[in-house]
This record gives sequence, structure tokens and C-alpha cells, in this order.
Amino acid sequence: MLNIERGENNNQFVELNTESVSYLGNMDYGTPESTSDEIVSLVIDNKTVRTKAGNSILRACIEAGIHLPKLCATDSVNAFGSCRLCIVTTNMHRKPVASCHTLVAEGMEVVTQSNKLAKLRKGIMELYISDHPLDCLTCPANGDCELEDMAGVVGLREVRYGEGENHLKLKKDTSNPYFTYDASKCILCSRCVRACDEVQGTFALTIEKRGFDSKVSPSDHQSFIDSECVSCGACVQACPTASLMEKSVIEFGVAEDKKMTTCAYCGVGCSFWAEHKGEQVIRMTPAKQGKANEGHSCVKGRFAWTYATSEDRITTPLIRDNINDEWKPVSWDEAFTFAANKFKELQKKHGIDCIGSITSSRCTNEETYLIQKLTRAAMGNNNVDTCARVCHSPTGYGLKKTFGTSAGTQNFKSVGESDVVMFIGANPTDAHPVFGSRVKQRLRQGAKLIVVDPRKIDLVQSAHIKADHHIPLKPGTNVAILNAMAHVIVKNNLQDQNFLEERCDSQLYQNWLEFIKQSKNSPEAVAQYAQVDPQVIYDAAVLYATGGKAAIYYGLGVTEHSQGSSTVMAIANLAMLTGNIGKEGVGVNPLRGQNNVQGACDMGSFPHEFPGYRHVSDDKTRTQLAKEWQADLRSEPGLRLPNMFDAAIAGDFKGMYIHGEDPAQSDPNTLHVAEALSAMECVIVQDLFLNETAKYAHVFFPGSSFLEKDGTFTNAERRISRVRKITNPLAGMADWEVTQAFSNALGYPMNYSHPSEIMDEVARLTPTFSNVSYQLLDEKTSVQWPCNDENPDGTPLMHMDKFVIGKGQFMLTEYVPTLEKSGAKFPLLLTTGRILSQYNVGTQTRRTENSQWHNEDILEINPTDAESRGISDGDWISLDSRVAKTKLRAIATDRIPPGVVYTTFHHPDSGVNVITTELSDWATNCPEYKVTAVQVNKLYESSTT
Amino acid sequence: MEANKLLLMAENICANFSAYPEEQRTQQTITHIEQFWTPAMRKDLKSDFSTNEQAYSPALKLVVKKI
Repeated sequence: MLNIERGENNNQFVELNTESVSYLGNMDYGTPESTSDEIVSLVIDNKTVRTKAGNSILRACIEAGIHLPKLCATDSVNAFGSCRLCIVTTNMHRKPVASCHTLVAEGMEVVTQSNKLAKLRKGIMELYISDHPLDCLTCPANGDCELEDMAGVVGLREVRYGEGENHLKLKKDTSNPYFTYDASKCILCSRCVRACDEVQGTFALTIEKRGFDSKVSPSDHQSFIDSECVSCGACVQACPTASLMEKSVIEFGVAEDKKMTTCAYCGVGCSFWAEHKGEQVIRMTPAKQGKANEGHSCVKGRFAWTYATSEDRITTPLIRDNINDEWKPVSWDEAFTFAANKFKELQKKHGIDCIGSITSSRCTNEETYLIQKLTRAAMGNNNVDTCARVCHSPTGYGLKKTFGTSAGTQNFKSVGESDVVMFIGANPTDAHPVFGSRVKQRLRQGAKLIVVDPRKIDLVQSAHIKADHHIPLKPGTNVAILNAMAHVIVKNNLQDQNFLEERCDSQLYQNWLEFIKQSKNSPEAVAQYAQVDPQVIYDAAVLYATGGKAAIYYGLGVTEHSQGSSTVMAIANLAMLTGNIGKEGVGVNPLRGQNNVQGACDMGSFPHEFPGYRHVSDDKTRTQLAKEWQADLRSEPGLRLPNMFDAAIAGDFKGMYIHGEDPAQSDPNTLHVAEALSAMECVIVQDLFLNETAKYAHVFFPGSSFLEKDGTFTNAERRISRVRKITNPLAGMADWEVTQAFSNALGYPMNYSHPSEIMDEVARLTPTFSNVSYQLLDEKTSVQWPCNDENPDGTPLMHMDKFVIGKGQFMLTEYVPTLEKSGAKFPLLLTTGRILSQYNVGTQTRRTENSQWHNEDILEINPTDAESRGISDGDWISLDSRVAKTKLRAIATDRIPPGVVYTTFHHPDSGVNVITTELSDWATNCPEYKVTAVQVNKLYESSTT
Repeated sequence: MEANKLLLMAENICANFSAYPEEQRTQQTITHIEQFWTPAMRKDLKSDFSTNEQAYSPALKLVVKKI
């Protein structure tokens, strides 16, 4: 029988200090949790423990409160078994085994402490420390170093090995702007390499060479900055020593406290621990408890938060009578009085409808709710809109029409169950990187991939990922392609008849069936103008319909078209047709561009809807809100954002309160926007910075960053997460307090003492939010709406048994070509997108070190088109559209098909939105950013301006 | 607002309901305009229609007459 040393008979073991293995409360279970439903019972140190089958012994120990020393194990990556510190003995193994990569078994008896184990562990640690700098007191990781902790845990007091060949003088790589790699402190545990592979999916790191020469190497012996590393921070997060270390920790020392908050970048809505020392934020580390990101991050959320303390933050209210005057710094009270008097005078002179408000998806739910309330109750009209107008308003329209709810159907985790994933007009590895990594994990497990995009995005082919079908359609033909896919499915009888009969409106389906079967919707017909091989459409359709659980994810490449809303409805039709709704692994999922697009829409920031997507003409809702808000409310919709600008140019619209939005840079045809803003008599901008729009403003209210206020964001999964105040507002007031004070100055009283009271009001007045409270969010970290008596813990998956609207509504989606056409004068089609390191118009990221990766917008052009114009990589080119012209540099790449050019819009200098047209989605007026006919010509005079 | 823009918006709405039978197409377009346009925009469109009917498609003419 096995010789098992029993712990209870020996009092010489070093007791593990459980406090020391948890920095600021970060619990690490050593290995990932098994997904098995089976429970196994085993005995650990004479204690009966129950855990999931498939868990490691290490995890079972830690779950039971028995802490083992470990270095190479961390619960974000699979077990590796290299350090051997976590060795245990069991009744099922002859020799000590690494508990991290030995699975639990029924009836297993485990001993974690014995003289033999203690000696082995101490010997291991001694070897590690013999080749490690003994500079703990001055090491930036002091207090947050697992190696240091483990040395203490195993009771290492001396190192017997004398000086010899070692790695102590290896050169430090400081090339990355956010973290350093100190090879002398590397213990070759491979956690960084595994994190890059398994969590991020970039495969940028490797352990090169063997034995004593082994070392971590980014890409092919490159520095971090020159390598394929995407600076997601997963390696830094995984590193148990100071080998990979944030520069902010090196500069400021380890944090003293932390609070969980929500990232203010994209719609993934990652949870972060904001670690701080008083008013100094030290670092942002991704929270494992965050259900959207589960401990992962991207370069923006992890590192690019320093814009919050950028030197050009405005911290004093400013006013001026004329936009050509100098700004005059004033007190908050003076600014509120000035602004309120201006607005009141304008309404007195030009009528109630001459002013309005714009809120932003960067605002919290509570801020947005207050702005729409201020507009409807204090201004007395419905002229409120949000920047979701220019990104995902078609999602709201299309999904409400078909499913009954203006939101995506799944949670992010659902993609882990998908057999087929289809991306349409979305580039998640750049724009929603943490979700992109999650998708890549699933694809590496074998899920099939369809990409519908003119451009070869990274997912089409990257490390260990290859799309099964890429449909490189001509910009503007989304509806045609989706109709053709549906046509193939119907013609081949691949539809889910049971789902259709049980879940969908039969008459509407029959009408749609008649429409979709028409030959104009066949792949052969569509291929003529979509410029794709009909066989690819056919193959993709068959895969989507027959490949198992199929999920669709889409982005602005769907919505920002003249048929954005039709495309969303065509997607919904496709999902209903194949029964891919109402279960794990399927669904229709908009990838929201900004952090709170979903929330801004939920909170009633559209001119036709109150909070909870209830039309202003709904008497019951309007009566309830009027009573609660003590105000007369209009039953007719107000002006949309582009309509406000048109009305301003026509002389009918005179004043605008703009919070957190920069339409002078981000909206299409910015010359038109500038003309409209110039025509107004009072523009109020509330922002962190004097942005482009502020050039046309008369009042500037200094805003507060997401680190300076309390509130909530709602991500693309409908997940409501807390934003927590880490530091005090630099300007003295949080944004919600500014809006409240402005409302009071306008004569409409608001008296909230904390954003939680605003959310309480939202919950009281909005059926889908009725159970939401800060207390609930504190308890559960986050909840997905609907969260009410029917779904007290929220709703991860929508439309499980029936659609919100009852029966699914098939909509006829006629393909209507855009009016923006290429021709002799403008032969190319420009489409736009994002790059990983920058965000939208760059207001935040351009003020960080992220610009090291991308400091200008570059035009991508197919080599054929480049050659015919004499354009070489790096050449300056002119980019001319019917609206205006700009210039930028170009590179030739076959990522983009002939006839199409592509660029980003992160830098105001490039003026990409100067040339985009005012054409917009037929249903929502969402601008058609993704299709602009252009001509590209080489500029022979060198220019850097 | 500029009449040309309103006309373009209205024609776009009409075109995107073009797969429906005439009666449904007309009603869907009317409902859409009533749900999303301000009264002033609707009034401006009707005003333009009264002097510029020849620029309106047959489908939109049916709509504007019923707004």
C-alpha cells in the first residue's frame, strides 16, 4: 500500500499563512473551475471535501480553505505542473504529485503537509531564490509578490548555493509604455506565456531555448513594443514576481485600497479593481468577479486610464457671450445662472422647442436619466437624443420590431456554447477585445466561424484561427447578403419548422417566405452587385443553418448604413428562421461601441421614448411620469440629433446642452455640424476637455471622469454594473450633480443626494428595472435586465420560452441600394473602423501612451488600386468625397478588396468624418459612416500636416 | 427643416417598406413617420407636398395625403 505520511502526527510543519497568498483580497484557486455537474467527495488532511469532478486537488484544497504553496499555478490558465511547490501525497499515487495537475477522484485521500513535503518544497524554493535578486525591500512587487510569499510560506531562511552562473544581470525590457519585463526576476513558470495563449489568444510569447538558457521571448526575439504583444496585460496579471510589472506600480508603489468599478471604454463593460493610494490611482486590474470579462482586459481598460488626470483637463466652469470671445473662468453658480438665463431667454423668444439636449453613451445611466428628465420636464419638450443615434439606434429599432426588445439576446459567456459564430460588420479583436479573446477561445475549441465583412479582419485568419467562410461583400450590401442566406436556407428546407410554428407569427412568416423565395434574393442575383462568389453565400448559409447552435454578433458595420435597421431585422429573421433564439450558444447580439450605449437607450434618451422604451404617446406611461416628475410631458416625439442640426441651420433651433459628446468631431459631415453649432445662440458643453464642439460653445461645465463618480453602466449584454468613485472630482462636482444644479437653475427642482436615489427612481418607474438597486448590484456584482419580480436575479438569456413581443415578427427586408454610389469621379468606397489601441475619436486614448501604437489614421488600399495611382506605402494621399476632402498616409494591403478603401477615425487631423456624407438609416437617421464614395490620389508634395 | 431632406427621408422610409402590399406599405410608412417625426417636420413635409407634389413618388403621395 501507499506510504502516506499523516499530517496530524507531526507538529514540525510550517503552517501556511493564508493571508500572505492574497494581495488585497485577490483569491486565486490555482486552476480553472471544472464545468462538470458531477460532484466528487474526497478527504484532504482528514477533512471531507466535496468538489466538482474535473477540478484539480489544488483547487479542491483552496476551496476548502487549505492553502498550498504554488507558483506556476493560477486559476486563469490551465495547470502546467512545472514548479512542483504544490505537491501533495495521496492514497492513489506512489510518489508526491503536483496537486495543480492531478485531478480529484472519489475516495481520494490527500495529505498536504508532512516533513517530506515540507523539505521538498523548501528545496524547490531554495533553487528559485538562488537565481533571483535578493532585493525584496526595494523591489516594486514588495507586498504583492508570490515568490516572496512562498519563500515565507515554506519557511525558507537561507540559500545554501553560492555564487555561480545565473540570470541576475539580464537586461530589462522597458520598451512597453505600461509595463517592464525584467528577465532577472523571471522564474520561468510560463504563466505569462499561457495567459497570452489561453486567455488572450495572441500567442505572442514563448519560452525560447532550453535548460539554463530558457527565457521568455516576445514574438521572434523582439522587444515587447516591437512584438505581436497587444498589451492586454494578461501576462502582467499572471506574473507571480516583479518580472512583468506595471510602470505605475514601479513609480508609485503598491496600492493601499481598491474598489471594483466598470471600464469606461467599449460595450463589453469589463469589471476592474481600481487600486489606489488615496487620490492616486495606482493601477486597474481586471476583476475575476466581473461576469463580462472574468478577469481579462485589453490595453485600453487595463492601462489607458491616465487621460483622467491629463494636464489639459478643464476644472473650472467657463462662459462667454460669443464663440469668438475668450473663455471667462467663473464659479459653478455663475455658470449655472448664465446658462439657465440663456436657455430661458431663448425659449421666451423662440418658443419651447428651440432648445434640446444630447447625452452620451459615456455617461452613466443616472446621468443620462437626469438629462432626459431635465429635457422633458425642465425644458418642456422631447428634444433629447444620444450618441447612440449615430451608432446603434438601428439595433433599437430592428430588435424591437422583430423580438420586442431593443437589446441583445445573450450574455457573453453564451458564446462558449456556440457551434457556429457569425460576425457581421464587427471586428471584436480590435473594438471589443476582451470578447474577441473569449470568442477565440471557443473557436480554438472547434466552433465554426463565418465572417461577413469587406475587410479581412483579424478573425479571418490569425494565430490558430481561420474563418470557415469569409464573405468580403461590397460595402452597403448587408441586407442583400442576409436575404440571400435566408433564401438558401428556405430553398433547401433547412429552416427550424418547429420553432417557426411554436414561436413565430405564422402570417408574417408566410408573407416573408413568399418574399424571400423570390429569385432577386438568390445568391446568384445578389452576387452581381455584392461582388462575392455565390457559392460562399450558399456555404455560409448552410453552415449557419445546420452547424448546430449558431450565434450572430454584429457591430457598426451593420448599423451605420442607409439600411442599418433593415440589416438588424434581416439578422433577426435569419435567427428565427433557424431557431437560433432562446437558448445558450445562439442569439442576436449587437456589440455596442461605447460603454453605455445600451444604458443610454434604456434610460429614455431617444426623443420618442421614455425610460424603458415606452413611446411618448403611451398615455399610461406619460401620465405616471408626469405625476412623478410633477411636469407636463409632451406626447409627440422631439427632434433627433441630425434634425436638431438641420433645424439650427434653418434658424429654428437655438440652444443645445451637450454632455460627454463631441459631435463636431464624431458626427458625419462635420462641416455641416459646425455650421449648425455656429448658428445656435447658446451651446453648453459638459466634458473633461475643451473638445472640438467646445469651440462653438458659450458655456463649459467641467465634467468628471468615470473614476470620480458613482453610477452604473449597462453593457452590450444588458448587464448593469456599478461605477464607483475612486477619487474626488477634479472640478469639485460629479456630472450628475452638475446636471441637477443646472436643472435647479432652470427652475425645475432636483434634490438627489446620491446616484443610488436616481436608480431607485428609475426602478420605481421602469418595469424592466423594478428590482434594480445599488444594494442588489453590491450583492451580485451585476445583473442583466429585465430585473423585476418575474426575474429577480436578472435575465441572462432573453426570449427563452416566448418573445417579449409574443410571437416573433418576421419583417420584409427589401434590399434598397444606398444613394451613395461609386462612379467615375469617386470610384472607390471608403469604409471605416477602429484599431485596438485607440477608441472612437480618440479623446481619451490620444491622451495616453496608446498613441505609441497608433498616432495617425492610415488609409488601407488594395495593392491593385494603389499601383494604378502610383501609391507606395507611407505616401501622402488626398481622400476626396462629394462632401469634402482630406489627406492622410496610405498603405497597400490585400486585407481590403479592390474598389474599397478603409481607415480609422481616431485622429481629428485626418478629418475622416469631414468627408463622410449625411446619408443615414431610413428608420433611425443613424449616419451611413460605412459607405462613402471617394477618390484617392497620391500627393507628390511631402507633407506632415 | 429643409424640405428636400424631409422628402428624402420620407422616400427612404417608403422604399424600405416597398416589399409590402400597397395598403400595408402606406400604413407602415404613416405609422413610422408619426412615431418618429416631430409635428413640425410632418407639417413641413405636407407643406412642401402642396407645392411640390411632382417630386413625390406615387407611393409617398399616398402616404402624405393620409398624414
